[in-house]
Amino acid sequence: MREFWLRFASHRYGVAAGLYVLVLIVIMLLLEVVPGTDPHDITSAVMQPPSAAHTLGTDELGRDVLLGILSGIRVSLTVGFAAAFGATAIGVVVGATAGFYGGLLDLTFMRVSEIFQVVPSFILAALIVALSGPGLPQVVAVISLLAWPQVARLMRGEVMRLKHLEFVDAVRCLGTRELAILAGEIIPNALAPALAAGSLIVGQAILLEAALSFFGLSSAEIISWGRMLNSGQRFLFNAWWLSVFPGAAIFLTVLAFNLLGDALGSALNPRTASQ
Amino acid sequence: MGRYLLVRLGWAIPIVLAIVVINFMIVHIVPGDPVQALVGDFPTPAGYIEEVRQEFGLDRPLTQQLGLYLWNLAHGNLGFSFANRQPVLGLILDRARLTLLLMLPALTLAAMLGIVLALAAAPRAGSMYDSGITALSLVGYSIPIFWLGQLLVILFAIKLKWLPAQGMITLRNTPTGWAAVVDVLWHLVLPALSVTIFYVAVVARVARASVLETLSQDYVLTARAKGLSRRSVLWRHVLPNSLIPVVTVIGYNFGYSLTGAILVETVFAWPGLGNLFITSIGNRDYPVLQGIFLFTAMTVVVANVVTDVLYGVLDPRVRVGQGSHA
Amino acid sequence: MNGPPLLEIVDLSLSYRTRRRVVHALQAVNLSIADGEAVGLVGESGSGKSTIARAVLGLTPQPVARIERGSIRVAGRDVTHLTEDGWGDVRGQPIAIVFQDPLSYLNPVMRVGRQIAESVERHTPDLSVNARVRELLEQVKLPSSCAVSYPHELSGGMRQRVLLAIAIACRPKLLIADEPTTALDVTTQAEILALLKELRTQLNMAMLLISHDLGIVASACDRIYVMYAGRTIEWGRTASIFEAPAHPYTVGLMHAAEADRDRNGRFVTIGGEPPDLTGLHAGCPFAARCSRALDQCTETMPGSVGLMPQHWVRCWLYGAGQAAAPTAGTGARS
Repeated sequence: MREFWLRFASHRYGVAAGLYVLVLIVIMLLLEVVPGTDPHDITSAVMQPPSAAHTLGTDELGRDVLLGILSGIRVSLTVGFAAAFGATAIGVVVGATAGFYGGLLDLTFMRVSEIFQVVPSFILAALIVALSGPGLPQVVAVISLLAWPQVARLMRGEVMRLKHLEFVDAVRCLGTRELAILAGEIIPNALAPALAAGSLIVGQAILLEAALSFFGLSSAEIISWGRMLNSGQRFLFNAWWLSVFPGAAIFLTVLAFNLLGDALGSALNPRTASQ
Repeated sequence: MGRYLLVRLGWAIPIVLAIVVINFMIVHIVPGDPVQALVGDFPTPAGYIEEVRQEFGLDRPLTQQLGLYLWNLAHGNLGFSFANRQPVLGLILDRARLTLLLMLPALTLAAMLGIVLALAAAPRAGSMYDSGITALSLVGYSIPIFWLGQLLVILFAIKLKWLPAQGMITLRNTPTGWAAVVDVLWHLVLPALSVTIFYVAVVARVARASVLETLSQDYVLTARAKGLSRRSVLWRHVLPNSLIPVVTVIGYNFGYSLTGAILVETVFAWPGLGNLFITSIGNRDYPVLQGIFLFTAMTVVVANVVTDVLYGVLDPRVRVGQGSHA
Repeated sequence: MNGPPLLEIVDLSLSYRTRRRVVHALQAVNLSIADGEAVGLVGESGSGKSTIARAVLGLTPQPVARIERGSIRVAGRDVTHLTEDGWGDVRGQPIAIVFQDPLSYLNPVMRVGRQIAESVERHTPDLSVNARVRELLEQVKLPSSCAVSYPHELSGGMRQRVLLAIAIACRPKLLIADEPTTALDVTTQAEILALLKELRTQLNMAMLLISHDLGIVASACDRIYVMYAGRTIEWGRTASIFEAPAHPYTVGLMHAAEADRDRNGRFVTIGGEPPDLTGLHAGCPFAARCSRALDQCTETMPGSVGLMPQHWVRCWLYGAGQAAAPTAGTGARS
């Protein structure tokens, strides 16, 4: 564990990204308790460019853009973390099962994951959300459903490598049941690369949610960055701040999670760390 | 080559079937009356809903429905869009041309730029310039492409007024003849540039790795030992060999760039598939949405097969041996 | 024979430097080759033979490889510190090279005829390229139909012949053959060796034949250099070395048969491991494996001692020798 932190700390950008995410989380929690921070508050200061009173300007209803961006953290982080968790969970279970038992099960898995590789995920996600109606649970479910093969493929490879190693045979000789070997010995040892791949899904999920919201596939009551860009698009010609700032928030956050994922990946996986 | 192609087609056919079945099942898995998904929320003539129920056999068992669905599909019947008063297939094909018009120049430019960047950086591995490519690709993977489009509009169309911001042709005093072609190209610049920037990042990363790998190959030593100039070694030996993985990545990621184009079109009001997609979401025109999904997924499969063929052309080792799919 | 030798390596030290470690691949190596002469270079893998072959053509990996001391002269011209473009005057003409593994050293996506033609175009642009390629294929005893083949369509022996054709297309004065037969089966080995000898007389080339196999080198060369751990430790006329090998390592080499090698091509009959080349060690590098080692062997590396006319050794058993670097083997044919 100590080694892990040391390796992680050697990635300067990864550490900076981690701090950034931490700040986002703190702001998100603060907004829950600090009064007078309702982003829906309508004022008469409509479509104001950035000024001292409204650092990042206001929108067509006089709502503060900065406040909107800060409360948009909630949707992005929720979707990002939940979808990554869901995808990793499915991926670990499916990948481990396919890799451990092999045969027809494995073959089926390979074909299914090939289909997911081919299908354009944004279009399918948009189609499903359009049919089932907007809502965060749907979005999280769809993204998990589309992203799990990334984790599963890695998990499968790692399990296939591990199951032929000596220590597994040793455990088997003790009379341990197959399922117990898989759950107790193999999965814990194969988890590192799968978790690294899972951490990269956070950024993808945030991007995908933003794209769905940008296409109007999110509830209008919930403030999200993609939704802000959607309304920003209508005022592109007279209010640049409605597009520039929310988009920058998406970009920076996704960038942070990608940097974090890369750093986590090499910290979790000493074998590739030196490269 | 013939056998290799057969192997690749053997891979594609089950995938195509699976996509069709997914498209069919979505309507039934998602809550609500399937007929709604087949017709859309748009007001329809009286009796039409009953007609659709009949046509797709919605009162019959699921397997029979699937058969009917496939039968309709085989005859090019993807349903009817009431919002557009047109059959879905014709509508999609019509718009897809415009998306392709946006994508192909962007992809070509991105591919060339990516390879040139990688070739230029390769002899300086580890330098500032080289880290620049890594940074660029990280940005490409993290930037929302529609936001990138908005930034370009704000900068080049609104602030600098160099380029048109919206649409495909000038609406006032619409030009004709060659002037019209120039006008379309003029409108094409910004959206195509967005897709290019987005995609060059992906290509440059792969191209960089590929060029570095090729440079360390033994045959490069043979080429240098002949006394060839540095440029000849790069162009005749390194480039053709490093092109193989790059072409593969471009082809296999066709869906990624197609999605990029679809997302960008909205920003520029480019009247392609993306625009059709977003208006159909607004209209709840489900047959069109399903049609677009089917169409894009099929396009990606075709792009995969074409890539495999190209791979065989570029690498003579594949033509005789059995193809392997990465 | 007057004038400067075709190739002269004087007191050359070369190291590979990575962030983690320094490998001293060559240490004070001396070697020279006169016009038309066939010289052998023998040693275990990792002894620095291939590094010499690459250094002579400026093909050592940059920026990892660094020449610390000494010089390389080609026909009297100092080429030690040429730029990549400057090496163009050395590569192919007057010095060409044939590498070891014929598959990986041929471009997999280019027809072999084209790969030969590149050499022709570069060095004899006034000739008809196609006719010359056909002629070259004939010289290496390949059917001209091979020109349209890709490397993977040819056998190992045929690929080695293609590499040879690429090299002689440059009309070199010196051909370096770096383990040209190692990757081949025994019959093909003999054929390629015979072809090398034939081409050498036919084209009047000098040759530097590099091998771990003393037998192969002896059958084809006038003089032999024996290398150990980046140093030339014994050199002289082939007959002289075979009749009276002086260095204990050379003696060991002679006794070692093909069967006595491990997977890495190291001789197991000579006990122990070749030394670690990271870091500089005082003394003779062979001392730890040498059954006849003396006290001073672990302290200082001896200079070269002339045993007979044209036979030198660096070993304490024959005295301290000249401390200064000798011009090893120069004027072998004078």
